[in-house]
Amino acid sequence: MSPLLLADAVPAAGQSTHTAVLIAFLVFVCVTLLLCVMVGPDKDEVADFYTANRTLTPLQNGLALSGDYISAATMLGTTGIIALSGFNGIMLDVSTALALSTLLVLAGPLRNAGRYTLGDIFALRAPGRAPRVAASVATLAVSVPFLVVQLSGAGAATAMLLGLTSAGAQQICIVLIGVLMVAYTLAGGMKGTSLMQIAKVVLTTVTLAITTLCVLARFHWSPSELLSAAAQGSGHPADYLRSTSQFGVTASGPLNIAGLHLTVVLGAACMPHMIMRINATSDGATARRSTRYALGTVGIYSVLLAVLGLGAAALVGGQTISAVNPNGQASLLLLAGTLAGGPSTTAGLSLTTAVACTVFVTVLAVVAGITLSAAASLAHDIHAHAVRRGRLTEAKEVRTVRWAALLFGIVGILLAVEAQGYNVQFLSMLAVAVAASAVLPALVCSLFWRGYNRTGLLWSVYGGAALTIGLQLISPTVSGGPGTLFPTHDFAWSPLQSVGLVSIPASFLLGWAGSVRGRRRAEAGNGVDQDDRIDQEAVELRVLTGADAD
Amino acid sequence: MHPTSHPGEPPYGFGEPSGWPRPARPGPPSTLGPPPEKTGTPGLDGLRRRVTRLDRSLITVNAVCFAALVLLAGAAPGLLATEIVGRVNLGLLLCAALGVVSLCTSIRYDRRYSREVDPEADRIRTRHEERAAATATAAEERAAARRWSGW
Repeated sequence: MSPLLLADAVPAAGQSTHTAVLIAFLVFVCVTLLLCVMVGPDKDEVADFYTANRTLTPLQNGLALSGDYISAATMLGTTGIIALSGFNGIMLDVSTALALSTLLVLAGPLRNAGRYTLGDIFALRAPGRAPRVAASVATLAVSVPFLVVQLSGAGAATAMLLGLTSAGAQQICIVLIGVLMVAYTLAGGMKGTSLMQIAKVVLTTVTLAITTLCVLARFHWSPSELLSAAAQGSGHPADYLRSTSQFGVTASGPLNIAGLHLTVVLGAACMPHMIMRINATSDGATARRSTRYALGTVGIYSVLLAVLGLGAAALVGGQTISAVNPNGQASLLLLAGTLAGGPSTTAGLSLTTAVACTVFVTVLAVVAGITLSAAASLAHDIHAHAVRRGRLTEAKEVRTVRWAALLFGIVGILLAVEAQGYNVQFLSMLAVAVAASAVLPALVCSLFWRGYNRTGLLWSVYGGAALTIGLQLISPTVSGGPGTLFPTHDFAWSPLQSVGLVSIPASFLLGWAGSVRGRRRAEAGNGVDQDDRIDQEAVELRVLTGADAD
Repeated sequence: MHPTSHPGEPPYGFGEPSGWPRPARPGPPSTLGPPPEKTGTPGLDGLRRRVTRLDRSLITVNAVCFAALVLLAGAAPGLLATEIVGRVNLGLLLCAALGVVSLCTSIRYDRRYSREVDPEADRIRTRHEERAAATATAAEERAAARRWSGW
């Protein structure tokens, strides 16, 4: 994103805006840090740190779940895509909301079967160290790219909002946000991050609702008038409101677009931090209820983001938006600068500051959630189970998770700083595709298929992740064109932009083939799989009723 | 007992406390261990069928609607561009309808699950826990009896 262009695009944004934004940021950081310390875990208990002792009500958990789900990439990215692509963007918005239906089906069984991390669910039909390591690898394969793209975008956006334009200033902002993210995770654990998510959802909903009302008021509350203005402003009025075969730089052709929707619907809600949030509910019924509330909240968000995207196209114009950022990430901030008289009026300044705070709080809350789930996986799956084979005291595990959060945070900050200057937007889609290809098949099979075993799990997790990452690297989203990571190089040997179209069915297939092979080897007496030691009836009882769960 | 566990220690794998050593809880047997006697849990098959039916109906409705919209967007963009009310076209209306269908089916799914599945699941779980507690008590009594018979 070009800060100079953004500054040009918001001409009235001056010193007063930057001061107001800075004060709002500082107030927010102080209040939330204080709250995190106050509500953070009192004792070194694993359940308290990972799941807040499962004391959150369904509504609280539902709000926190929707907070986890609506990342900065979703909020800014969806608004941008709608502003630039019109109908295609609105369809993606609907797919994003629909993804929670996938989670709704899994929520109850996930909570019944799970304890804290992905590894606890993988261990359901595949005990031992290897599935725990696989769970951690899958968690990191989703979390690292997602964290990098969030931190990278957040650093640039925060620097711009504060009126800082140099690359060094952006890197300092990334480091500061990263430090805050680690601090929230260390101090608050699940309870602290949940509180932040709830605060974020309330603040974001109110701010976006007010902004939406401002947009609708500008068009005399007429959807037709808004749509007409958006089509005109987009620069391509003939096809703005109809399905086209080009979806920005993300996908082109009906097959790639269909694959993109499929990947979002299957993967967006199966990210490890969402699974961990589901495990923070008290039982299966509460998990289901929380997901339903989250679906309602995300549905409201989707409507608001659709109106804001159209409003951005109408009031800012597609040309200006894509000049600042080809993916349209700046459209929401640009739109806020044009409403309520602009930043030169008190109302306009308040709105701009509120939207800036919304972006900031969204980034902070989501990266804290991602850090918590990645650190929990490293501590619980790798250290406590794979290395110490379950013989680790709770106090030591909590100490490990804090160190893991620090380590993960440092790696994430370094990668995000290094990625500065590159277009890393494809990473958010990569994270969703890995979740859909490596996590979802393993979850579905672990929960619902008696024949699933360790070999099947390892094949589907590693195969799905490797296939997704490999295909993505040689796809046109990484190299060979403008708006890619390496625009001057061309190693896009595969025409497939939505790799989920291949990797998701391939991962299910690998899970089946691996399970068949594992069973045959076990029957042959090789003893690699421990399937004969699993009481499938007890597993099913646990998945369906929650018997023997915490 | 898992081969990586040592005698007297909790078996390694899912279901064991992560912070070993911790106070032992009287509870049902682990899902690991030698193959159990296939006694079966009464009511579990019926519960599975009900869950499958509910899951299938939610997935089918949403998947069909979603696939239809994506297919129409790819194959018949002209049809979706037909304006219905002012500039609001069929595609936008179908997107809104898909959102509404998704929300309504989710609410219905949760309510039906609460009504048809949760009470039965609770009954099965309670019965299972009572049986496990009774088995544990009987085992303790047998162990105590053996200790006294040694005197």
